[in-house]
Amino acid sequence: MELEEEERRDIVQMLNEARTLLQAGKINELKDCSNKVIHSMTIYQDKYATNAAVIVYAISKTLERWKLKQEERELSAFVREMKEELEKLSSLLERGEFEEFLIECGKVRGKIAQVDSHFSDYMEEVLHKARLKKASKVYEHGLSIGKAAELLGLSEWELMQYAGKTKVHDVDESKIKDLRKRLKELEEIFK
Amino acid sequence: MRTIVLDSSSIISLSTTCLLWILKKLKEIAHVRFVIPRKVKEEVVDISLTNPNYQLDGIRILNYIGEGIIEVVDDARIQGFASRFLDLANNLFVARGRSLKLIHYGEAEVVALSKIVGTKNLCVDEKTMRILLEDPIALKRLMERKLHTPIEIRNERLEELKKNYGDFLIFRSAELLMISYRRGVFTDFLAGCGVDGWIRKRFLRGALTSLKLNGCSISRDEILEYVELISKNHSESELSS
Repeated sequence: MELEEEERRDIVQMLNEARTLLQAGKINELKDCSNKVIHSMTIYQDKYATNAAVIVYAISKTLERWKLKQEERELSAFVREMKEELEKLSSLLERGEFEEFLIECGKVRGKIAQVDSHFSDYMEEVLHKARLKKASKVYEHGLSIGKAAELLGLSEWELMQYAGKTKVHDVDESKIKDLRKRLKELEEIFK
Repeated sequence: MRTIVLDSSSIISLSTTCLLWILKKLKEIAHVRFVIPRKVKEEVVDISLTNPNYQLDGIRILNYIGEGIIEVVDDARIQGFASRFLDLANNLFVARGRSLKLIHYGEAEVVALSKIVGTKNLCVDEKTMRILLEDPIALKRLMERKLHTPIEIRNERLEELKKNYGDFLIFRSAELLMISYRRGVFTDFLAGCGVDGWIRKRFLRGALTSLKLNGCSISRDEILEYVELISKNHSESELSS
């Protein structure tokens, strides 16, 4: 599958920024950084931006959950490994090795899942949480619930419950009709 | 008998808020028919049964299908109609030279089914389909604002959308709740709370908020507006004037 140049640029930029933030220990900014490819995810709807966003968010979430619990040495090892992985992913994209990029994403997800399963008290794994978060963002940007769920490999059930608790529905464009008119029209059906 | 096509999102929010039973009551009171296409049944039953978090919901919905409260309609024509609508919706807007794929096939089946059974009544809780059918220009504006990129509309497709799909009556589970309230569906439920207005207001606000938190695309402002509308005791005749 080919990658549009603009999308490739967005993803590489995001991965490089993520590396810098990881190095600086800026977890909150790292989390936000993963949103920089939401536009690409919404428009292009392929696996590249989706994988990159999920991985970066999952890394930030893992660190967030771990930070107070783990020895500095273990945390540093994870950070070092993830920095190397982000650099590898960025290089693969720059060289146009798209299939290899996806394979490497799979490996990174595996590493995150392994670490998360050993050290997390939470039932919800970070990768799943990352997919929910990104799907909700894509829904917010205009794709349907079904489309967003399909893009991130989720069910509508879990995405509805997650998105409902955000501000996604508190937008002006969502209120099309006057509520009295809505009810009046419905009254006709239920007469 | 009037027919209402339900999509997955409306069934999901009603089920997860334990309000699915209002469909049974509405069917009894108003002799309406609630129908779904096969793809919606797959999402709300088959998929839910694979996840322990939603298995109870799936069984509840399956029960309603078994009792005939929700009917699954299988028709060979659905696929053709759905594919046409899917193609229309997913090639309506263009951003960065690409067609924006807005909806997925299951959602298109809901519109297809409505054409086949000859109804314009759709219950849709998720926001994109609703805005697309009610006001596609509003959806374009929303997406331009969010994506920080100009979006082009293919005018011939817009004309086709308006001509063939522009007269649907779309409502949400929130509206079903409001109608149920006005028709006395909750009379027994609230009997124990007395007829105090404070309790009733809290009930409505709570139920609407619950639907919102479970995915119904209603805003906080709309919830407050609905609560005020009812608390002013507008009569049916006033609403229909």
